[in-house]
Amino acid sequence: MRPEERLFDAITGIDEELVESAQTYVFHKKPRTWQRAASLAACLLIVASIGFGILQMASIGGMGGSDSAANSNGAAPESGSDAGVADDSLVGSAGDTTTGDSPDDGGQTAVTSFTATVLEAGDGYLLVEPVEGDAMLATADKIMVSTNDVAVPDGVAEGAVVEITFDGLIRESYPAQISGVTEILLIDG
Amino acid sequence: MEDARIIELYWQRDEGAIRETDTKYGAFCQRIAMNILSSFEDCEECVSDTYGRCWDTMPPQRPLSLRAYVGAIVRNLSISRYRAQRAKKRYNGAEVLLSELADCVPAPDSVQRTAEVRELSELISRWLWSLGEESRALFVRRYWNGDSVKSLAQELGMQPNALTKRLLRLREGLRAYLESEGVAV
Repeated sequence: MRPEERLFDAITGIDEELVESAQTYVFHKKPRTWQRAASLAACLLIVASIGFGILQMASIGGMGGSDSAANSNGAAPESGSDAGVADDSLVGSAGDTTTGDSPDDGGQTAVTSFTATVLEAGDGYLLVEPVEGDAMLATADKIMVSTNDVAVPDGVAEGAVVEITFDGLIRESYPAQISGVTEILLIDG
Repeated sequence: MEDARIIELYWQRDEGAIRETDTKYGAFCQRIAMNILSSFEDCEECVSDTYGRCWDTMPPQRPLSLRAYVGAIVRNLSISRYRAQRAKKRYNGAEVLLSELADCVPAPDSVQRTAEVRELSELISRWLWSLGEESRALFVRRYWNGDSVKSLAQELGMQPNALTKRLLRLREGLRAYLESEGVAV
């Protein structure tokens, strides 16, 4: 018998356990070069899409771009890449829903009102804190309200209590930012 | 049906054991036989003979793994058939005479040969256990099951050429191990 035939015969008699485990073993496929390249490209595409999405949201957010209001230290936090604006994503509203869907948000949010105490009144902005008991307090304890496109009643100053109506979009930065403010009412001056 | 239950049927001399073995391991046996013989007709006969051999050997045998047991039988039968076919085709007269005369050879020779093959089997097993799980499975699937390089390469997600090189390194590893154990093949 040729040596290889002896080996062939000997292989037949290897441990049963070896045979059994080999039958049930699942080989882990090694990705080929093009598959690795495709995976990398897909990852880059996802990252780029997320980045683009964030930029898009920042640009349509209402307080971004053209806003030039000052922040609490003299310059209001602008949307997008401004320092001081962290995690610039959008969350739903938490205040009293008063009317139907906002025309700008594709029906995802509703016009909302909440009551807050003015912490700071600046040029083109109000920094407010929702009053105790207002649902908005659960969403944010400090909110930057752009007043560029809305009339601010006389007497609105630090310590005043106001009712703010806006389109429901809240930018989850700190302080939180709201856009699409349609009305500010002085409740307690 | 569980292996233990099928084996129990053999022990009870219940012919349903063969039907159950065929249902569970028929395709497995056919693949092994085909990998060695490359002939559907021969393969069918080998698988059929395998069930007969199972019937004849259980009892007294009670294998731990029925799959490994029937696999070893169909492999042995396929190798024997391959040798018989080769003898007929290439060395017709002399081989037939030699095979007939082999029945007259005294037992010690065959005992010694069997012992050598058994020793080799043990050494190969020991070497296989020293390998990683994937290399171990790969070697068994190629040289015990006889699976093709192409199908294994597909399972592994690699080019057949790359797998051929990997198998070569495995064989060289086995040769080195056997040499280190003082075994000449």
